[in-house]
Amino acid sequence: MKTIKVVQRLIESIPLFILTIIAVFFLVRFMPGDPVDIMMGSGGNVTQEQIEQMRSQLGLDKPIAIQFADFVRGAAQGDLGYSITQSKKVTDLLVETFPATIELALAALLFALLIGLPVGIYSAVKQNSWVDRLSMGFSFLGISMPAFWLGILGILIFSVSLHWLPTSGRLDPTLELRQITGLFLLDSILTGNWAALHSAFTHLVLPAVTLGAELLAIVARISRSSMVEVLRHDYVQLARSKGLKETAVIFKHALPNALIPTVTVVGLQMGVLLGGNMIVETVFGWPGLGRLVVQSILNRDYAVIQGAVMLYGITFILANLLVDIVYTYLNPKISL
Amino acid sequence: MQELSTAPLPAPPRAANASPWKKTVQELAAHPSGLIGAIIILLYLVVAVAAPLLAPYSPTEMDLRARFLPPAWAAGGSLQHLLGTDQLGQDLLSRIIYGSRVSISVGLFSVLISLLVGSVLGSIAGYYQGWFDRIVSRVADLLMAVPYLLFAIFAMAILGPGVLNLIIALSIKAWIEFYRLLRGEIISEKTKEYVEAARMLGRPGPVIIVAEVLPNVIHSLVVLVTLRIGYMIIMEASLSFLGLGVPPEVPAWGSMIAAGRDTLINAWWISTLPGLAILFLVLGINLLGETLRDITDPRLQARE
Amino acid sequence: MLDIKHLSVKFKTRHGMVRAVSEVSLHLDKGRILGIVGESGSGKSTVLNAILRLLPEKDVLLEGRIIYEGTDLFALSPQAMRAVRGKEISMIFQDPMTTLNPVYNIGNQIAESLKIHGLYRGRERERVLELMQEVGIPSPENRVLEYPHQFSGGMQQRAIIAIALACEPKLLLADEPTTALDVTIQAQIVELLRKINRTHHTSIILVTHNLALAADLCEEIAVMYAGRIVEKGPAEVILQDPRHPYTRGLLSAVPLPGITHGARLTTIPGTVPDLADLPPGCAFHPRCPLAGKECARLVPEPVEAGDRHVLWCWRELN
Repeated sequence: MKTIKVVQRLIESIPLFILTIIAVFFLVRFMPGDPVDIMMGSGGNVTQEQIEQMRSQLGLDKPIAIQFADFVRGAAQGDLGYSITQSKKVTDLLVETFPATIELALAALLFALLIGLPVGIYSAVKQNSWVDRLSMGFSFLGISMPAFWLGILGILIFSVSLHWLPTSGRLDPTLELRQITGLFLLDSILTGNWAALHSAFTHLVLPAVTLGAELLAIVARISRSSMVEVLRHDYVQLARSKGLKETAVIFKHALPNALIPTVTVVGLQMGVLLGGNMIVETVFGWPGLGRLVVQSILNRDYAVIQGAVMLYGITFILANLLVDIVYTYLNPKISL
Repeated sequence: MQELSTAPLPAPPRAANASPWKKTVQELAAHPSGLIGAIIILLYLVVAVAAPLLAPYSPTEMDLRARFLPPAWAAGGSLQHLLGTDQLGQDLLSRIIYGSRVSISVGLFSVLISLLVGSVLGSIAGYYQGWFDRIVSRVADLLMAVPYLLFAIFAMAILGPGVLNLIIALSIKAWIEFYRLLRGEIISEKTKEYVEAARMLGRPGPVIIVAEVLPNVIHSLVVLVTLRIGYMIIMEASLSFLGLGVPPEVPAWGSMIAAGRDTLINAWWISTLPGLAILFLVLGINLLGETLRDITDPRLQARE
Repeated sequence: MLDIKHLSVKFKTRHGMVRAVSEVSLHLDKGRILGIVGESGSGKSTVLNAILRLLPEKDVLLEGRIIYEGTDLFALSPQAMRAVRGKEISMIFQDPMTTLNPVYNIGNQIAESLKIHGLYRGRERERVLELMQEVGIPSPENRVLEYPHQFSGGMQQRAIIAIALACEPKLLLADEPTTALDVTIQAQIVELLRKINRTHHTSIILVTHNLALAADLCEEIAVMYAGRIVEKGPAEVILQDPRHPYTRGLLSAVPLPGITHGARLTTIPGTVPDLADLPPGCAFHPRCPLAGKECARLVPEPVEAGDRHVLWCWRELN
C-alpha cells in the first residue's frame, strides 16, 4: 500500500522536474556572456573562424529549439553532453562529484541531528538552566552567521593555527582509496584502509560542521520549542499519572510528538543543505556537485549546469519524499 | 443535562487595548535583548548613511606600499589603519563602513518589495480566490520547491552583478512568505462576522481588507519583515562571496571575505572582520525580530 | 480512605510565591463521591494534582499532609509514589482531545498502565478489550488499534476512563471530566462514573465548576473560592440550605432542577481575585453582599452549621 503511494508521489513530481529542466535549459542561454568566448579567453590570438568552428562543434550555432530537441534526445539516452571547460562527459563529472556532495550532506545532517536533538530536548526539559541558556545563545549565533564565514574561521583556527585539520579536498593526495560507493568514509571502512579513513574523516570534519551549523542551530531551537510545547500537554500529565518514570514520560510520550514539527522543519531545510553546499564546497575546495554548479555557472558551461541541476532536482525530490515517509511514520494522523 | 456554569462572571476589562503600538514600544523597552537589537540596527543605519563622514579613507583608495597591514592592536599595526588593510592596500575599516550600504540596502529593499508584492497578491488571492488565487498559489508552490541559494545564484548569473539586481534576484522568491501569510489570514477572516457585516454595509473589498484584516496581521508582518531582512543580508553576503553580488569595485562584506580567503595564513583580518560586521548586524536584527515575536505572539502571552 | 489535612500549595513565580491552595482539609470514605466545586482559578484542580504529586516539584511548595489508606503520600519516595499513581489512585482529565497521546493507538495506551504496574501479565489484550467494553466503547476488537484522532470526543473520554480503571484503582480523581463534551455525552459519562462507583466501590473526587453536575453525582460537596474551602457538607444540605454567601450566589446564578429560588437568576457582582494579589481577610469580601469590617481583616474561622456541615464566614456566626 505504502509502496504504491510512494510511486504515486514520485510520478506526481515528474511535471515539476520536467518544468525545472526546461526552465534551466532556457535560462542558462539567457545568461550574459558567451561560453566559447569565456573558454577561449579574450586574448587576440583566437580567430573568429576558430570560434565559429567551436560553436558549431558544440551545436551552439543551431536554433535554440533544435538545441533543446538535441538535449532531450541525448538525455533520453543517458547522454548529457560534454563539459566545454573540463573536456569530459557531463555524466562522468556528475558521477565523480555526486558522492562527495552526498557524503558531505549526510555528515552535516548527522552532525546537526546528533547534537541538535539532544541539546534541544535537554534544554526543554531543563528550561532556563545554564545549559538551556548557553545552548540557545549559541544557536542564536548559529542562525545569525553566514556559513562560509564560519568555515573560514574554522580553517583559520583548526588548520592555519593549530594544524589539526586540512584546509581542502577530501583525501590526502598521497593516499590511494579503492572507490566502491564514492563515500570515502564508507569505502575506507569497507576496504579496511584505516589511513584513508583517518584522512577522509579529518577532511570531512570542517566542511560538515560548517554546512551543518545552521541546521544544528535550527534543529536545537525547534526541538526545544516543540518539546516545551509538548510537555505542557495533558497527555504528558496522563503518562505521569499512570505511574511512568519521568525519563519514560519524556522519551516515550513527549519526544515522538516533539519530533513531528522537528522533522517538518528539517524537511524544509533540505534546500539549505543542498543549496548551502555550493558555498561550503567552494570554501573548502570540496570536489562536489555544489562547487561544480558554481564553477560552471561562472564559466557558462551550459551542459554541466543542465546536468547538475537535473541531479539536484532528483535529489531534492527524493529527499523530500524521504522526509514525508519519516513524517508519516511519526504522525499517525497523516498518510502519504 | 444542562450546562449550568458558574463560570460566566464578567472578565476584567483590559487596559492595554488603548494603543497596541505604544504597548509594543513599552514592552520592547522592558525586553533588554530586543532593545540591544534595536540599538545595534540603529548604529548600523547611522554608519551606512554617514559612511562618507565616518570612513577615514575612500573605500577604493589603493596604497600598494601599505598592503596587508594588520589591525592597530596587532603587532605591526598602526593607528593609520585601525582595522588594517587588504591585499590592495585598501583601508579595511573604510571598506567595512561602506560595505554596510550594500548589505543594508539589499536586505531592506528586497524585503520591502517582497512585502509589497506578496501582500497585494496575497490579499487579492485570498479575498477573491478563484483563478487568480489558483495561478499565483501554483507559481508560489513551484518557486518554493527550488532551493533558495541555487535560485538566487541562477538569477544573479542571468541578471549580472549590481545592487539593484541583487534586490530583484532575492525578491523573486521572498514575496511568497508574505503572500501566504496574507492569503491565509484573509481566507480565515473573510467568513467572520465583522468582515461579513462590513460587506453587507456595502464597503468595497479592498477597504475591508485594509481596515479590518490588516490590523490583525500587522504584528506578524513586522516580525516576518524583521527576520527576513537578516536572512537576506546573509543571502546577499553569500552571493557576493561567490562573486555573483556587486561589481568587484564596490565594497561588499561577502566579497571582502572571499578576497581575504587566499591570504588567510598571513592576513587573517581581511576575511574575519567583515564577517564580524555581518554577524553583529544580523544578530541585532534577529534579536529585535524574535523579541517582537515574543511580545506580539498572543499564544505566548496567554501562557504567561 | 483519604484524608487531606491542612493542604497548602504555593507556586514559585516571577512575582514571588503565590498561594494557590490554602488550608484545605477534606475527608473521603471508601466508595463515596466527593465534589469540589468552584470557578476556574479557585485551586480545585491543584488539589487533585497535589494528591498525585503531579505538580512540578521544583516550582511548588506543598504543605500539610495527604493520608491515603494510612500512608502519608507526601512522605513517599518518588519511586513509591509512582507505584501509587495509576494503580491505587488514577486521574481523569478535563479535555479528552488533548489527553490521549496522538502517536499511540488506544489499546497501547490502555495497556501501558497494566505494563507499568505489572498487572494482567500475558493477558493484557483481553484486559484492554474488557475495559473498553466496560466503559462502553462499541466493538473494541476493531477499535483497539485505532488512534485517538479516529475517536470522537465522547469515545476519547471513555478511553481515558478505561486507562484510569485499568489497574482497578481504589480512588478516581476526575478533573472536570465532562466540561469539554456535548451535553448528551456529558450525561453518558456521568452515568459511567456512577456505574463505576457502584460496581467497583471506587471512591471518586469530582472537580467541577458545574454545580448541577456535582449535585447530580456527589454525596458530599466542598465549595472552593480563591484557594480556600468556604463551605462543605452533605450535597443535599449544600444545595437546599447553603449558608455561605458565595455558595448562595453560585446557586442563585444557576437554575437547578428541583430547587426553586423564588426569584430570577442573578450573578455575583465583581470578579474572581488574582491569586497573586488576594484581598486581606476573607477573599470573598469585596464581592460579598453581607461583608462587614471584620471580613476585610481576618480570614474566617470554621463554623459548624450542622451535622458535617462547615463553613468559613464571619457573618454566618449568628
